[in-house]
Formats: sequence, structure tokens, C-alpha cells
Amino acid sequence: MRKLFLTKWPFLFKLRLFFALSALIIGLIFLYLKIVPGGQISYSKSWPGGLRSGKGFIYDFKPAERMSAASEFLKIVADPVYFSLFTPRRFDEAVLTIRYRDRLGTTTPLFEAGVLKDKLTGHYELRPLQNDVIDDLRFRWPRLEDSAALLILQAERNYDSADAFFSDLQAGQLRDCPGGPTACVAVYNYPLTFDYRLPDYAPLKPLKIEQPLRGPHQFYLYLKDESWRLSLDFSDLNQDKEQDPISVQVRGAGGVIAHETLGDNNPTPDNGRVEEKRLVLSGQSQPTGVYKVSVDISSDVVIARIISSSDKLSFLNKIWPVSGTGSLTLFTDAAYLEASTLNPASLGVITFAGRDQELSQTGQPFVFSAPAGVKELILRADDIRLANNGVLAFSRDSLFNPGFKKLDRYLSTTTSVRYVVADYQQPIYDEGWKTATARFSLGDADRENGRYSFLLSIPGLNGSADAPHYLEIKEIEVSLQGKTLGRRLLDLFKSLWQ
Amino acid sequence: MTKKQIIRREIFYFISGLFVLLAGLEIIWPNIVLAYFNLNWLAVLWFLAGLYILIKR
Repeated sequence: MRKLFLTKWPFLFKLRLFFALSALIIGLIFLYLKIVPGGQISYSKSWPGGLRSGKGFIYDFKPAERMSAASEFLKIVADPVYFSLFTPRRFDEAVLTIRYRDRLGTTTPLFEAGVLKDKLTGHYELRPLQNDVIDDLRFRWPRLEDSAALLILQAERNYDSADAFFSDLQAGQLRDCPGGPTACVAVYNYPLTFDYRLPDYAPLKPLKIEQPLRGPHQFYLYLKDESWRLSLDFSDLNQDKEQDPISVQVRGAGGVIAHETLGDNNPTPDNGRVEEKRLVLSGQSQPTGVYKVSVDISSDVVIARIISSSDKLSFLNKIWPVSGTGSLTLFTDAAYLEASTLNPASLGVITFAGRDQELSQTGQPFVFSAPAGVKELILRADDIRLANNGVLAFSRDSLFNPGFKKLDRYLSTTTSVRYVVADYQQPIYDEGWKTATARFSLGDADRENGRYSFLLSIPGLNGSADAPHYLEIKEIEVSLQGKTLGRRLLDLFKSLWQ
Repeated sequence: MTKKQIIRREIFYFISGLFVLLAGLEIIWPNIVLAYFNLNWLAVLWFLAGLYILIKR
């Protein structure tokens, strides 16, 4: 064969064979990179960027005004910043590693990363990269547990083992905790559950909320061992070009107890004509306890009316009242309120805990603080987005909060918090740079045109290009893990066989 | 035609074929080529190779 190649084959044929094989090899390399047969691959982006021919896999950092071009690194000056990760195929898990340094103040103790889970509601699943509050407490409070996936800190040495702590927690009788577990335990990135009971619960009374609420909402319902019913009326405003499906899910301690969806078959979803829709969920007697209702809709849909068989109904973390008939009174248990609006007509005075506060600018979040306890909130106009780390309700009687306090930038550990439970690893310090890692499940993440959407969040950071507080990123690396080619083929054959 | 001329011509054909192949891969699986390599560079190379052949003629 070698002799044949050297002597008999014409020069042109040999040349073309060489080029054809070269093209084939280049094509196969790209095919290999597309399929990723081993199921594992890493992509990275570093600053300052060197000479690079391709577009890369991590790109599209936006919005530009939240970053400063004055630095050779990626300098984040305002929260949040989004970026896209292109992947040639689907993966199951991503490990995001960020090398950075920060000059953040005491009002911005958190640095988190998130991946878009639901494009409709804009829900990002957040994971911690840095939490200065925990990093500080870790050296001031005794550590009850400090493992890879669980950190328990206690203000006093009340417990010697995590088992004894969790046992007392489930019994609702933590030591040094007179207000009950939800009053003295703060959690961060940890799914801590607790069988909450309302001590003075009266039999169910129906509740009707006529105040329209725009966009996705979540609320707690307290149900006793009785049949229940939840009716939601929706108004699809049809102002944007996207379809507006509706999904309502009721979840208890044992899992989902009811789930209803309503598709959007409107061929012209931006025709401006309001469509009225209704979803009714009901069930027979459920175990007494707290149920979380998730209303997953886009901001083009308004919850026009809620009728519930239970009058214990509290909105979780945020509420967006719109199109009401004047002033509105709400109640909340959080020590602060973040209010923002895009509507100039909604600017004005908000009365929070008896004090008048000025909402003076559109597009800018205003934070008002107040003492602990249940507080009244009076709005003169609606179309204001309200958010905090507690619950909000339309009456004092409806308000109840079965959740633990979240260890965020507003929580003061000098108050009633006696324990901190977290799944958090401190960043690693090395030559002036920090390295933090976050792990994401991509199985149910939103992937559009081959791209996952990520965000980098520093809550409270709201500066300009020359602001004194910022965070600089030197490198972002994403390690992806998914099914191998063999496994995918096996799954394919299995599905064909079945 | 000399050997040099043949090589120049075949290089031009190779770049043309490679461009079509990579552009095809990019059309079938968007971004898979552009993420690694900017096809504009190959287009420039293809243009220069063609120009060189014409000049030498």
C-alpha cells in the first residue's frame, strides 16, 4: 500500500486525498465538540481577554450600565448582571466557579449566582457565592455542625449535636427560643422544614380578595382537616407578543396536592383585548398545616380575584397590586419594605408602620425600614411592586408566617435570631483573589437557542461606573456534566423498545 | 501546469470546501463553529488564496 501510494498514485490524487482527510478530521473534531461523548466539558472566560478567534461560550453580559469599562476585569457596579452560557447539547448539572475580588460595603454582604428556571415568571434559582454575615458569625458563634452541605451556628452552646437540634426543632421546642422556631432560626440556602401549627386557629371562614395583582405570586394557605376550595379569576391583558399560560400549584408537606393549568390559544396575544379566565382548585380533607400556592403567570396576566375557603392567606415575599380603586391597606411582618414602580402616577407617599415615606422616583427601588412586629402599610395609589423577606396580607387576621427567617442583607442577627442553618461554603482566598463555587441542576433549567441564562447578584449594590463599591471578576468557569453518548444511545434504544 | 500551481489551486479548493463544511455545520447546529472559530478569518483566507492564484496567472 505504501509503495502504491509513493509510486503509482498520481500527485494530484495524493494531494486531494490529504486535503479531504484534513477537512474530514476538522469536521469530526467539531462533531465531537457538539456531541461531547464523555458527558463532561468545561468552558471558561477570563479577563483581561486575550486574542480569541471564536465567540466563546460565556458571553452577552448585560445590562452594560451595571458594569464599568474602566477596569481590565469584569467590574460589576450594580445588581444584577446577566450572562448567557451556550452549550452544544443539554447537560444535567453545572458547577460555576468564579474568581473575583470585591470592595463591597456592609450593606451588600451577599454575592449570589443564579440560573433561569422559568422564563414565564423570570424565576432564577440562586446559589450563594459569598455571605459576609455568615462568614462573620462563623467565627463569633459556636459551630454545631460545619460540613460540606450543612452549617449550623448557635448564639450560645445550647446543643452538642445536630440530631438533638433537629429533634427539638421538629418538636417546636428549641432551647433559648421563647418565640418558637420560626422566630429564632434563620436559614440560608437550606430547605429546612417545620410542621407549623397556628395555635389559636378558628374554623375556616371564606376570604375574597378583589384587589387585582399583576404577575406571578406565591402565598401560604392554612388548611385544617376540612374540604377546601380556591378560585382564581385572571385577566390576560394581551399586551405583549408572548403566549400567557397559567399554572397554579398547591403544595403541602407531603408534596403537590393540586395542580391546574390553563393554556393560551390566542393566535394574536398582543391584540390588547382583555381575556377573562378562571381556575378552580379544590380537595377533600387534607392534613392540618401550611400549604404553599404558586401562581405562575407572566406579568401580562393579572390575578383579578381570589376566593379561598380559608381566611389564613399570606403572600410570600412580594406582591404587585394594580388597577385598584384607590387607597389600599396591607399588613406585613418584615422589618423593611422595598417599593418600586414604573408608573409616574403611582409616585407619592406610602405610610409604613405609621411613618410617611416618599416614593419619589420611577424605576428605582426604595427601601423603608421599621421596627419588628406586624405593621400596617397604606398605599395612596397602586401599581407599586412591594417586596420584603416576610409575608404580606390584606388583613391583620389573615397574616401568618410559617417560614423561617431568611439570612439576607436585611436580617439583623442582634435581634431574636439564635440559630443559623445554612448550606454554604466560604470562598477560598488566594493571592488577593477569592474563588467561590456554586452547583446548579440544569435538568429543569430554561434553555433557549442552546443558551442557559445566568445572573450574578449583589443585592443592594446600586452604584455607577466610578462608585466606591464594586466587585471585579477575573475568571468564570462552568464545568458541565450530563449523560455520556453510550448512556444516551442506551436510553434511546430503551425508549424505542418500549 | 506546474506542481506549485496545482498546490495553490488545491489549497484554494480545500479552503472553499472547508468553508462550506463549517458553514453547513453552523447552519445545522447554530453557534457550534462560531463559539470556537470566527468564520470571517477563513473567508479572508479564501479571498487571499483566490487573489494570489489570479495574480500568479
